[in-house]
Amino acid sequence: MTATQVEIAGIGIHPFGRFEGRTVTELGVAAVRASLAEAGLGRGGFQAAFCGTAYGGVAAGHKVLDALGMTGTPIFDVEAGCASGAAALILAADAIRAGQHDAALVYGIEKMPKGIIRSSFFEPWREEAGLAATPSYFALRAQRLMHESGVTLDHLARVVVKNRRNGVGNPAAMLRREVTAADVLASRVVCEPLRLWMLCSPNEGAAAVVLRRSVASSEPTVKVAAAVLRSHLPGNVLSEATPMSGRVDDSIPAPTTLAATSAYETAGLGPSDSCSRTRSSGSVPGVTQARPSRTGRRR
Amino acid sequence: MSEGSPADVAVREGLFTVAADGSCHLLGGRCARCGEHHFPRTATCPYCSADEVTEVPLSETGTLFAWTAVTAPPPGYRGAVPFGFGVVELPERIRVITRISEPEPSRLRRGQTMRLEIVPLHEDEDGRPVVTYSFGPVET
Ligand SMILES: [Zn+2]
Repeated sequence: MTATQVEIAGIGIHPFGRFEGRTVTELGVAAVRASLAEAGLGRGGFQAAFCGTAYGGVAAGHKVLDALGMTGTPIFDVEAGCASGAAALILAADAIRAGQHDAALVYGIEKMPKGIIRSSFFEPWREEAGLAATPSYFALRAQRLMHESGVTLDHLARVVVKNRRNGVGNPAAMLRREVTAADVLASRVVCEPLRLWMLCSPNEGAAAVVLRRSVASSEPTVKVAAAVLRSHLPGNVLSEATPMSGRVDDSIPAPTTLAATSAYETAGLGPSDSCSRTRSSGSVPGVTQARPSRTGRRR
Repeated sequence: MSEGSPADVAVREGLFTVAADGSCHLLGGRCARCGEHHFPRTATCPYCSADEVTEVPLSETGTLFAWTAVTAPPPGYRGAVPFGFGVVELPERIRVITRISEPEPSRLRRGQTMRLEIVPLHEDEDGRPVVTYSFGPVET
């Protein structure tokens, strides 16, 4: 018996940037519409919907499908911090693998305020005491990385150069201008060693994919080789969970490591496979995910 | 209110104590089942989920493990910038997230001795100083 494969039937994206006067629901509608059009599906073409968002509000996913007259199926609104979109995708892919659905709609929508991210994760006293600035936690992690691995400030700047270059040819990207390492290092110091341009810019946008059970076809398709979610283990003071304390123990594996290991194992791939890629969570604590994917590869 | 100085208001009750002689301690939790320390004290142990947690004053001095400075006021913060921020390791084998009293990162070094102090943040509606804990470098 062959395990069920999950493939991407359509994708849709609303550009990322700033869109004053446009609601998060409208961003989601644009992305969902485009993904369904590419998949050639309409109302009734999917049996479940999974929407990832952290700032979208109550029943944000329901509002998107309501605007399209596509309600009636189960709609799951998923929140897992920066991993919300990936968490939604994982639930959908697993449900298809389990034989629950033939097709599922997955979308991620967000409309973030400007500036340092304010999160209800932090109790008010922590904000008041200055212990709730997310970049400061990333700065400590960057400092530790530099201390332990020989990574330099210039290396950090070159990651930004690479990321910005990726945006140049992408019409959906918010930042589309090429920059130099010197530009990055000249931007304002937010929390040493992190400069402003090294931080993710809170923004607005939406993306959607239609997943379906893979059927034999001569057309090449993108398969979901693995999609894995892990949460932090207790004890690492600098973990994604931004705890107030931890123990003196440097052997606690990061959730990124746990998720990547599991995803590679599931996919039968390794970090040296050039087509694979991993993605770790951004600044919101608690979870991270790794998501290698490979076109047309079967387990 | 913090115990030492009645005019001051602690940013949160139960984080620290100040004795009459000015010495101060963070109030951690110690689990009777697994022996691990944590801070601030919570009702259940964040390592083994036992509810046999007792309050323990943590050591006043430790060593600097990681640090930075926050240069712009984050949301919900009304105090001065820049301010130091980092991690101090205490003899109880615990690492604590804390303000660092030195806001210039280049003046600090890893492993140096740090001592707990209580510092003002801002004033409340009645003009009383709201205070919190911070670790500052010990002059040697
Ligand atoms: Zn315990």
